[in-house]
Parts: sequence; structure tokens; C-alpha cells
Amino acid sequence: MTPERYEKIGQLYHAALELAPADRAAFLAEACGDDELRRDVASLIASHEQADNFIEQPPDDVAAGWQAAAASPPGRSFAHYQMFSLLGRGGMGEVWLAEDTKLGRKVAVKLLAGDVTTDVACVRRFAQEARAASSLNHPNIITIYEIGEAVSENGGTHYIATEYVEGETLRQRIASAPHQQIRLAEALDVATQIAAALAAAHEAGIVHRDIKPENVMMRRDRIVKVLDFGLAKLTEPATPAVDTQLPTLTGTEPGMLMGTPRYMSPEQARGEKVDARTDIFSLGILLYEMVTGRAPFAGTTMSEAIAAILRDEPPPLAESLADAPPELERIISKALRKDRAARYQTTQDLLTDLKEFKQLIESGTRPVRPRRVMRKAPVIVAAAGLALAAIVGWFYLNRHPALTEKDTILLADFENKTGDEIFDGALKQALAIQLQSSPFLNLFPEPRVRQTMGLMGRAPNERVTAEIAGEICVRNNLKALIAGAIAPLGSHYVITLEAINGHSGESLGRQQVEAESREQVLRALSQAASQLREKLGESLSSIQRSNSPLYVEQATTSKLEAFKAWSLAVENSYSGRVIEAIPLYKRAIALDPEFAHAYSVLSTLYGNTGRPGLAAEYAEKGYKLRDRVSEYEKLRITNFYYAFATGELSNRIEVLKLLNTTYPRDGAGPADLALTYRQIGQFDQAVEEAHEAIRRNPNFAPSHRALVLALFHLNHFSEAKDTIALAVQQKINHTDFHYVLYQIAFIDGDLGAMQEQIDWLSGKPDEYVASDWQSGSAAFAGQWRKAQESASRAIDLAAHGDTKEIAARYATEQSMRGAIFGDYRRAKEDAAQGLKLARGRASLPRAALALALCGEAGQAKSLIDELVKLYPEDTVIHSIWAPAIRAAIELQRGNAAQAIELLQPASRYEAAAEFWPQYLRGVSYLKLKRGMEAAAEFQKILDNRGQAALSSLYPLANLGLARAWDLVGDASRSRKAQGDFFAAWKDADSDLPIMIEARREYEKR
Amino acid sequence: METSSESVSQLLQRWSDGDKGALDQLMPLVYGELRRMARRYMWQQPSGHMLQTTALIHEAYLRLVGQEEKRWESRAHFFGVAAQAMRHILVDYARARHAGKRGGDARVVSLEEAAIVSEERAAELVALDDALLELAGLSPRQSRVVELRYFGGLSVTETADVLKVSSDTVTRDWNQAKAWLHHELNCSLET
Repeated sequence: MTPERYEKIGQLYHAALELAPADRAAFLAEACGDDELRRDVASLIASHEQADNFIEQPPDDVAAGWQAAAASPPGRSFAHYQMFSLLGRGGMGEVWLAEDTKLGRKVAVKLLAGDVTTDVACVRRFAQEARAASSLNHPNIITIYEIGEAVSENGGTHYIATEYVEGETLRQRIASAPHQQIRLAEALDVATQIAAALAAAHEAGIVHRDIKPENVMMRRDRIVKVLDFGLAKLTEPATPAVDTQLPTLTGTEPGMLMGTPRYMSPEQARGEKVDARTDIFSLGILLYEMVTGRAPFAGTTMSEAIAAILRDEPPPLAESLADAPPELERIISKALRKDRAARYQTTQDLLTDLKEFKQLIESGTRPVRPRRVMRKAPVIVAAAGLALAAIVGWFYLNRHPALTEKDTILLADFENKTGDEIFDGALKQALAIQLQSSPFLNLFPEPRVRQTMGLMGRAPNERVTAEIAGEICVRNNLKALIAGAIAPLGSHYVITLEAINGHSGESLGRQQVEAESREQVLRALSQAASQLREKLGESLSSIQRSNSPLYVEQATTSKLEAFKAWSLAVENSYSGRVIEAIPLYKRAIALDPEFAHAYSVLSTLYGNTGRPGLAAEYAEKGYKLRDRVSEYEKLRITNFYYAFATGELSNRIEVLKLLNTTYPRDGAGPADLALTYRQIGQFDQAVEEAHEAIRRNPNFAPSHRALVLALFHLNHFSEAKDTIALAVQQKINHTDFHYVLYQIAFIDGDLGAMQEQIDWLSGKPDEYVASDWQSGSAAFAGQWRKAQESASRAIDLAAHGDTKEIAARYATEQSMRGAIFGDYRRAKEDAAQGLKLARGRASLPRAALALALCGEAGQAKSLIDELVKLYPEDTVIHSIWAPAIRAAIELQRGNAAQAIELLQPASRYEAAAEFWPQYLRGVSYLKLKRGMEAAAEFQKILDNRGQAALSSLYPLANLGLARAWDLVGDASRSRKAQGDFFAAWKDADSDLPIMIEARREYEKR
Repeated sequence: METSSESVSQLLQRWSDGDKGALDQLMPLVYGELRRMARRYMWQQPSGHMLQTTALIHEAYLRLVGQEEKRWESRAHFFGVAAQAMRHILVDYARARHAGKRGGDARVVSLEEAAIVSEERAAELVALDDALLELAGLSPRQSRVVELRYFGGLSVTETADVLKVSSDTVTRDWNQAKAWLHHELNCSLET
């Protein structure tokens, strides 16, 4: 279009507008030369009629958004929060991404808008409820850290600091889905997690009141978080409304629609008092919207939407969802009953239905192809059989009260008629994994089987035939057993499963399937299990209750050889032979490069043996492949990802809590949780979880290791020893058991016992750790040369292949010792050596701290920068290492007060920090001549020896204590502490700078 | 702000006298003041209180020119500059916000529907700005009228003063521009 033409159109347009609408068409037909011109003018007139309010009001809302954004330069701080960016804004106030400078963690801070918080009583009620919600501590509920009020000259602002959840809201998820429809399985997963959150809240008497897609966050790892419990109460009138006042629609600002009636329950819309059933209704709407892509109660205006909620039935699912399952329809319509008495009465009921349906969907997504009936299959079925269906159903129905040991089922060995030894053990293991991932099933543990065999006068390694299995059942009062057989059929295989009553020996049913090739065997096995269950006449609903992934190749691998290597690896690592297990897992991965779980398990083995770099690498790999695995493994893999790849320990704890509640019989979850608590210095909780882990599975080495370590850190030395003795009796052993025993012997001054532990390691693949212990104990006694010798040996032994990181750690550990002893030259050399060997979590923080203590601020700083850049979310680095290194830099610069300030974030986790924050703080207080405070810090070290029994800082804490008491003029205490130091260092190298200084002080006093 | 208030008045005078270069000097002053005000306001007020577009410009005028300036003309000219500054500010902001959403890496923890609404709004505003640019090619004056009225919140008379045309002309321009923009935006929505 040209300007001339536009002007021409304008003239005609205005002329036409002056006419009565009825006359316009005739006018245009006459006045316009061509049809195109007439159309252009006509469409402009049409637009004019619709454009009514268009751009009549300035864009105030956008201006408000801009003002908020303009006001968010980094650096704005609020209470002890440093604001970074505005995350969202609405009628309730603003949400900012911030850092909690006290604790050094990211948080979301919600500032409540002034007009919301003017009603004092209302605020109090809200705070009460929010606090109650924060005490729920549920993995699907956002954690509230703090509720407070910041007072400024302009009055107070209420704020809530919560966990920062990175991800998208359910609203965004829906909006980005094709046709705004979320896949059924995912929608059910989300709904189930929301229901779990609500069930926990409702149990505690808390109603959310404002469940809507904006209040549901979805993290990358698919964990769902429900936000804003209790917040809706803020906008409610203090007394229950009896009129038609709409609770969440009050207190809006012009141009800002707060809340929406779309997710309200009918009782809410009527302004009646609400209860838990309101949340159920809202969740019903969410689920409906997720699967259909549309709102069940539509209306363009608020009053229409409300009318729809009160009056209309939602359109049938089938209108927008082809093949809508009737069960889904049933669940949704039961949640959406207008009369709350006809709705689900408890969220628990809804949750149960959702879970069951979800499992049905997950297991039933692949249609089971009917198998050929084999008339003359030369199959020999072990006399035992399988009644998965009945058993699983039985367990399910009886899970309240919780299952006891007697409800366990036994797996007999597979009868292998193929002559292919790969099937020995592998099929049983596959079936076991499938059954173990069911929350409600318990398998009779293998060691107990062997034990019973011993009682029966049989060799412990004898095959558990169906007959023997039957006897084991009777002896242990087991309800049922499952056995199977595999036999060749030409180039095919026939697999048979049978279930049998453990008491009567009566067959409960059997099933055969054929596998066309070796690679198809694992899949066929899964099908056999599910088909047998159908054949047994189990109703569909009881199959769905089993929660066991039916396709074992998803659970693990389709490669039999890989599976076999895996089985062997698991056996080794369960009994504590970690170093031996590593090559087996690697072999499993080589045989099946897509074996997600194997990567993740390798990451934990590396992580727990001092190789954080390799651990991160494998954790990433497993995480990338997590879409292929079962729900159980997905949680395990995610857990390892947070543990070793990102280091986000709070996320890890959440995942583990979810794992532990979803799979209440799995011991690995609590064991990992115990180790995580240990990492952040919460040893009491670590002990508790480790006990739980052992209760769930007594034959799992990591649980015993976690318990031993936590007890040791708590100074419970004899309990730790007893725990080790018990574990060893059960044929469980672990290098760390011997490390703990070595340290206890060292504390007791028992040289013989120390040597025993060193001898135990002799000839083992991880022999280098013995030299490391020796270098630690020599340094503890001030025998610096001896320490150097042992350390060099340890480094030489480890400095190759996949143990390089360990060598790097030893070298940098030495450099920290050199730095505190005053041997700066040596310290710098060791730091350089360590960084040359490997540059990562093992070496960077230690080298940085050593260099900081040597006064090399520039180098130390660039190393922390590197570290923080590599691991931006790592809890231990952010909360322990970085503060300690920065404090050390300032301390060396003479800024003791600032050093103390910088150590603040570390105080929360300092029990796990091997004395560094306490020591640095103690030295800083000495510099500031604050003797009492210095003494308190050094005393913390001396009182908690088990936290780091071989740390060189321990004897030096006595030296610091002597100086502290001297400062406050307490000569006798000072002398006592000095005496303790010289006793520990009686054989110390006399030319160590710190020793020379100590002696000079001694002579002065 | 004595010196700047003087110079802003002078610049306005020079600009209304036809000195085009004066505008180039005025713009950054107005732009900067609007930004400063936004920051200041945000943190002096209990949260949730924002200045509306017109109030922002009015406030900026008082700060930069002052109440001493009585001449109506100069006020109108200031508003003319400010409307343009406002348009740049808001569209830039909207573009950034919209782009953040598009990029998929916007870290949004939105607890409120409003955050979402304003993202949609951001897209709308960006589209409006694009359409205005197109309109400027067909009728520069109509495009100016929309800028002054919509982004500056100017009345018809004020707009007429700034553009030195009659109120009737402004009304006609506004009327056609509105219909045309509405048509453009709805068409672009459909395609």
C-alpha cells in the first residue's frame, strides 16, 4: 500500500462513517472505483466497530512490569536476602530470586503487597497456616524457610522466603504442550504428586484453597512442587462469608485480575466455608484440563465461569480425548461432583485411585500380543509356580498394617534346559528386580535362603529347585513361591512360570511364552508374568496394583550378557567389594551402552571412593538415559545425578524422601539418605536413616557403612566397632570399616590394632589408602617428613588410570597440611602437583585453601572462581569450601573480622567440614584479641574428634586454645592446653615453623 | 537539579523553535529520568504500588522542568518527547520479556497468573509497535498521534498542540489509525 492510497481509503472511510450504517454499502459501491478499494474501506469500518476500547488506555500494566524489572538491579538487598531478579508479580505481591546471604543458598522471596497485609489478624492467620504448611516437610510441597517482616522507614513489608524451584509452572507446561494436552501418563504423574502433597497437608488440617496451574511448579527432573499453601487465606474475609463474596477475587488492583474463578469449587464460589474437598475439586479441574487441553467449566466472563461451576456438567472427556479411559472419566467425575458429600471424601482415596490407574497405564501401554499355543512344548516346569497376581493383590489389600516379614515370597532358581549358562542366575535376577520395584512386595532375601539350606543339611550353593523352595517356604512360613524354567525350541526359547501355594503345594497357575531369539528372552519373561496373572483370573484392577514394571528390559537392559555382568557387580557391591564391582559395572556398560542404571551405580561407587570427577561423568550419563528406565530406577538415577553431577544436596534429599515413601521396602534409599546427611554434618539423622536402611535390608553393605561412619563422627566409637563386627559376621566388609578401626586404634594409641588394619589392605587394589592413613597419622603428630614419605607412596600408588583423582586429593591434602604447618614452599609444590594430576572437585578446593593460607590470594581466588564456575549448584562447595577459602584469603590479608563474616554460610554444615571453619574462625578471633570466642571455636574441634579424627587441625586446636586462654589471662588453662599440644607433638619435627613458634611462646609464658 | 531543569526548558524551547538537534539532547535526559524514577519509586513504596504511565510522565516533567515553567507549549512539547521515550522503554522491555519466554530459558517462578498475563501482553505490545512502524510509512502523523495518545497519555487537545494541527485532525487521525491498527493486529494474529 502507498501513502496516497492509505489517504484515499481514509477519506472514504470517514465519509462513510458519517452516513447511517445502512447507507454505507451503497455509498461505497458508488464512490469506490474498484472492488479492492471498497473491500479495504469496508474492512476498516468493520475494524472500527470492533476497536471500541482498543488502545484507549495507556499500557499501565506493562509500565508496572517494567518498573518492577527496572528496580531489580543485582545488589538490591532486603533483610538478609540479596535480590537478583523478579520472577513474577501479581496481586499478592512480587516474587524475587534471591540469595540468602546468611546461608549462601538460592531462595525465592515473596514480598506481600501492602494492601494484602494491612489486616493484622489476617496476616497472623496466614503466618500460622504457612508455618503449619512449612512443617509438613513433604517432597511435593515447597519448603518455606522463613516468614518475616522487614521494617523500613516506609513501614513494614511481609515476606516469605521459600525454596527456589527451577522449572516451569503447570500453566506453562500446558501452554507448551501440543493442543495444550499433556500425555495421559504424565498428567497422571503430575496429578498423583499434587494429590500426595494435598493428602499430607489435609492430614495436618491444612487446606490449600487455591490449587491452580500457576501454583504447581514442575522441575526438570519431573518432581512436582505445590506452592503457596495458606496464601489464599490472606485474601479471605476474617469471618466465613455467607453472601456471594468470592474469596480470591477481593483486593485486586485496577488492571490486574487476581485469582481466577476457573479452579474454584462450587462451595468456594458460593462463599461458603471450605474444607479439604475443595482442593479435591480443584485438582479434578486440573486433571481434566491437562488431559483435554480445555477447561471443564468455561465462561468468558467471571460470572459466566462461576455459573458454569455451579450449574454445568463438564463435557465428556471423549470430546477432546480419543479413547478416553472410562476409569479416568470415573476419577475425574468423582472429584468434580458439585455436592461435596458425593465427591471423594479424602485426598488419600483420590490418591489411591490415581496411583492405581497410573500403574495400569504404565504397565498396559504396550498391548500384549496373543501367543501361539504350544501343544508339544518340551517344557519341564519346576514344581513350583507363580501366583503373582493373587499374591500381589493379597499384599496390596493387606498393606495396612504394613507388611511383615512373613508376607514374603520366595523365588526359586530357574531351571535352565538350554545349556547356555548365560541363563543361570540371570533370569531369576531379572524377575527379582521386577518384583523388588514393587512397593508392596518383599522377596525372601538370598542369604536367608542359604541359611535355611544349611539348616536343611544342604550345601549353601546348591540349586534351589522347586522342591527345595517348597520346603524353605514351609520352614519360614512363606505364603508362596515362584519358579520358572527355560528350554530350547529349535532356535526359539520357551519360558514357563508357575506360582504355587507355599503351604499346600497347590499350583495357583502357570504360563508359557515363546521367545524368538536370545535377545527376546527378557521381554518374554515379562510377558509371561503378566499373562499368567490374567490367566489366573485376576481382575484388571488388581494387576494394576502391583506397581511392578512389566517390561524388565526397561528396568535394566535387554542384553543378557550385560545383565549377567550387572548381577555379578551387584553381588560384589552389596557385600562391600566396591573396587571389585567397578570393572563389572563397566563391563555391563560395554555390553549395553544404554544401560542407564549401571552408569548411575558406577557414579556412586566412584563418588564414595574419592573420585568425584568420574562420579560426575557417570551420573550425567545415567541421567541422560533416564527416560528408558522404570520409575524406581528413575528416582535412583536422579538421586545420583544430584549427588555427584550437580551436588545439589537439598534436591537429592527430596528425591530420596520421595523414593523412600514410594518404595517403603527398598533399603538403598535410606542408605543414600544417611550418606547425604553425613555429607552435610547431620549425623544424628544419618544414624536414624542408616538404621532404617538396615531394617529394610540387612544385607546391603552401604547401609552398614553409612551407620558406621555416622556413629564414628558422633564420637560413638564403641558402637561403631560393634556395628562393624556385626556386619563382618554377615560377610559384609568395606575398606571404610578398616579406616574407622584404624582411627579408633590411633586415638587409643594402639599401634598393633593400627597395623592390623594396614595389613588387611595389603595386596588389595586400593592399597594406597593405607599409605594415606599413615601420612595422616604422622602429620597429626607433627612428623612432617614421615608424613611426606607416606603421602608420596600413596600418590605414586594411585597416580595412574582411574585413580588419578585420588592421588590429586592426597597431594592437595598434603598441601593444606604444609600450609598450616608453615612450610609454604612444600605446600605450593604439593598444590601444583595435585592440580597437575587432576583438576576438579578433589583437588581444586584443597589447593585453593592451601594457597590462600600461603598468602597466594590471586591464585587461590582464580581457583575458587574456576570451582564455582564448574559446579555452580554444589552445596558443599558453596557452603563449606568457598566460604573457607575466601575467609582464609582475608585472614592472610589481616582482615580477621571479614573472615569471620565470610565463614557465616559454613556454620550450618561445619560438622562435615573437617574442622576448617572452626579453626579459621578461632585464628581470626585470636587476631582480633577476642580470646573467649577463639577458645570456644577451638574447643568445638577438641570436643568432636570423630568428625575428622586424623585432621592436623586437631592438635593445632590445642595450640590455639592455649593462645586464647593466654589472651583472657587464664594461665592455668593456657598451660594445660599447651601441654596437650606438646604431648601430641612430642616426636614432631623440630624445624617446623609452627613448632618453632610454639616453643618460643612456651618459653615466654 | 537546577542546571538540568534549566537546560531541559531551554532545549524544549529550541526544539519548538524548530531546532531538530535539541530533540537528540532531550531524549536521553527524559529517558534517564524515567528510569531513575521507576527504580526510586519501586523501593519507596510498599510493594505492589506502581506509577501509571501518565503519572510517570507527569512526575518526570515536574522533576526535569519544574512547576515554575508556566508555558503550556513547553509542557506539551515535553510530553511529546516523553511519549516517545516511554514507547521505547516499554517496547524494549516487552521485547525482552517476550524473547525470554520464547528462548525457553526464562527462569520463571510465577506464583501468579499476572506474570503470565503480562507476558502475553508483552507480545501484544511488541506487535503494536511493529504495526505502528508500518503505519508511519503510510501516515507519519497518524503514527505520531497514536504514540502521543497511547504511550504519552495525551488528550486530543494536547496532541493537537504538540503536532500543531487542529483537534479535529487529531480526532480523525486517531479514529482511522485505531481502526487500521486493530485490523492489522487481528490479521497478524490469525496468520
